[in-house]
Amino acid sequence: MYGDEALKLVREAKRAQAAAGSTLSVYNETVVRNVIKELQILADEQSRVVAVIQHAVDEDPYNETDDVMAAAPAAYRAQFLLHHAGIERNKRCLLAYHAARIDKVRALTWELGGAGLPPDVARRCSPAEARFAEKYAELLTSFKGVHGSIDLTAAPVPPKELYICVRVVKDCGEIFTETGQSLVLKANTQHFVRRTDVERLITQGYLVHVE
Amino acid sequence: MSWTARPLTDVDYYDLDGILAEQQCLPATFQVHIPGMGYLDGTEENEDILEGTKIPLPVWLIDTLNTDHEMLVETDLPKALTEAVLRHLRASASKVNLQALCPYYFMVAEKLQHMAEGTLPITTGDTIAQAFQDRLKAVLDHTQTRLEEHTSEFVQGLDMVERDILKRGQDASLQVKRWAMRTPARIRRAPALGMGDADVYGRPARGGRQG
Repeated sequence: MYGDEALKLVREAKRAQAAAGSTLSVYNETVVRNVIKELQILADEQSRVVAVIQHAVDEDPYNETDDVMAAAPAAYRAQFLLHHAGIERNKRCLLAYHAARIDKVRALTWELGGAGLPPDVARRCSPAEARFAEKYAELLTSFKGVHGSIDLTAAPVPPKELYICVRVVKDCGEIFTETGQSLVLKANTQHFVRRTDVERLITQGYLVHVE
Repeated sequence: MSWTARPLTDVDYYDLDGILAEQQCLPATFQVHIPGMGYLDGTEENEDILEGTKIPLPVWLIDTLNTDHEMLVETDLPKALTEAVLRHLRASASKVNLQALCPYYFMVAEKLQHMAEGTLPITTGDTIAQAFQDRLKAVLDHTQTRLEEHTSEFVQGLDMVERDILKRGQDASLQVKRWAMRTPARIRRAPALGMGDADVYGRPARGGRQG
């Protein structure tokens, strides 16, 4: 049946959506290419059918209308519609797959506060998606700049205390706090620091907020 | 059945569930002879589709073949909407395994109800709506009392819409629990980053929700 290959993409996107805490899966270039091939075959067939219909209608001495489809014999109409349905279905599946992935890229960019995608995620994007991610991050950053006094992408957790205890998971090197002091964040060390200095690093996974 | 398609909104077009739901097949009888398209029945036996050929066709294909102007195929109810199943639903709705019958049971029923208006028995819509309500009581009960249950027999029998409701309900209940126990509001690592390689103490990641 037409569109079986394209359905694989939709199922993949659906699975990614449903899994809790999921991130972007690898761009399925192979299947996408196959779907495009199927589309090409259907489109070529369709041109042939259209030519046959036009010829049949032109040759028909009893035809008075300009409506080619209405004048065509039912069998040809059926062929046309079958191919048309196949083309539209494949197109819809392709678009939905790509749209779902782009939505995910957008969501990731917001969650990470306008930073670009982490390298392991960027690796799984297609080149077009990677370009989109870059541009979108730029867009988000300039949007945040408009509302300078509020950080739109801050962690949506109401602050309970001014200083928090964090443990370093990934080495961050040296950072500068709001008060001007510098902190060396080496892996597996624990620090008692001002919340506002480290919120971003926690969201991005470099530190963990411990009790 | 007569058939009227409803135009898709933007949101519907990209909806992954909508795409998967339309893959449901109905028994279809062709009303015209179509040369050269015999391969649609999945075998290599027939060159042409003859008038009266019966092939199960997906809803999306029937949608294009049947228009206001003409019906190229006559369709029949899928097994999931026959009187036998409806009787089961009237008797004890929660016990029916909808996932096995049709994973997108309610979406398909709704689509056919709209398209085959006047041909489905009036009571079908009422029966299914009532069944949904009855099952919903059981689903909501699960969201309050069985927060970790994902694979029991009851859950296996739910269709995709019901599963979605169950999952959201369970998530909501868990959040309420956490709030009630005054779990300190910790800033979390962005869920978009996935499970990550290891937790704070270097233990490898397991499945499950983050703190």
